Amino acid sequence: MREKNLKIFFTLLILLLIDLLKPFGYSLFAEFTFLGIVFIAMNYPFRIALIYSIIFGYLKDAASTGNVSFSIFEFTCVAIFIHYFLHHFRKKEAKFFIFYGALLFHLIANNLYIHKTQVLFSIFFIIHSSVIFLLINYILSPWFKIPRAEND
Amino acid sequence: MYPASKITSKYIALCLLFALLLLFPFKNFIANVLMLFSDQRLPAISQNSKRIENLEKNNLLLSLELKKLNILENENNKLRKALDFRTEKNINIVGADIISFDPSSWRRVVLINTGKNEGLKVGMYAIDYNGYLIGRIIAVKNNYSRLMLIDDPEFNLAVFIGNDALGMLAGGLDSLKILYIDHSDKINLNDVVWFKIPLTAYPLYIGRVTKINENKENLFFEVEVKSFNSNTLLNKVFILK
Repeated sequence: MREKNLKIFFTLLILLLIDLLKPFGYSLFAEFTFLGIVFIAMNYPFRIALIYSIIFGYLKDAASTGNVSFSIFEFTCVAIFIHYFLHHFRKKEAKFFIFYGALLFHLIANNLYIHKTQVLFSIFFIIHSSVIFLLINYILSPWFKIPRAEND
Repeated sequence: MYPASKITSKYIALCLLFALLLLFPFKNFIANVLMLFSDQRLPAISQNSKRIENLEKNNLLLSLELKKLNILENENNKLRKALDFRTEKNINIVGADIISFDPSSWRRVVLINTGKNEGLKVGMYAIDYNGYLIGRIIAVKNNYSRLMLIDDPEFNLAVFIGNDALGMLAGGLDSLKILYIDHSDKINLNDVVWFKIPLTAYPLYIGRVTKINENKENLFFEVEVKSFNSNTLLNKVFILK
């Protein structure tokens, strides 16, 4: 259990660092921390997902420009919604819709937060995030020992 | 002392021949032959010397232009003083490295490694390597500052479009827009968008007009701008003090 927690913590920390350092600059429209939280919420129990969403929501807010604790609220909501829907829809295909639901929620929440609708940016964000999430799944699943069938 | 009688006729003949060679136009002929020879043998040197000559010529012209501008600046300052205008201040540039980005994809704010200790203040403008405007300082601490880039959704700035129009540049993740341009203003595609740093005569260029939305129902034009700075992988900025 301790090893699993450490793995989750360091994975999310690295994803947060990628968000902060942006090695691809502004050419890649994806939020690695958010995708990490979605991955954890989809594959781990509610308690763990909630704790990590609060911790990393706080860390993201600390590094952000605004004064509002927006990410704590958003990540917690995402963790709660994902577990709620996973509890009610147990089919394998449900994960696909839950992921895009979380992405859509993230898009709408952020567009409301900045009081602007960025259509082109949102389309790119969905495309880039989907690819990055597939990569995260592909890389992290064997390390976290998540069965492939459950994850796909 | 040697008496003139002692100088032999041989020496006199040699001196006369030398004088003849010096005075005779044949001298130019030899020089031309030598030049032709050197031009053919050493074309690179010849090209370089031509380039140097052109550069020297340009340098002279520029130094004359600079002198003229200095005179005009002095004259301008005198007139400003006479008319009681605010005097212009000189600007200085501080280089800064980007140390981190805002983790949100919806914000375009970066953290730079210079702050109050280097004399930075809120509201100072940042430019890139080519001198194009890229943002404005929004928060300053002792050793670091936050720089809002022009494509941040919260960025806004009063700008000039071409020579006639004025508007408000608003940042955006999709594109930069200029708002509040009156229908009477003359705006064309490819007009340069620029602004003048307050209290100075330095213009900073931002971008070019790419689209003009003329909706007669609206009071104002809506103009889209493409920024001159297309580098998405920023790592160094320059702050105008």
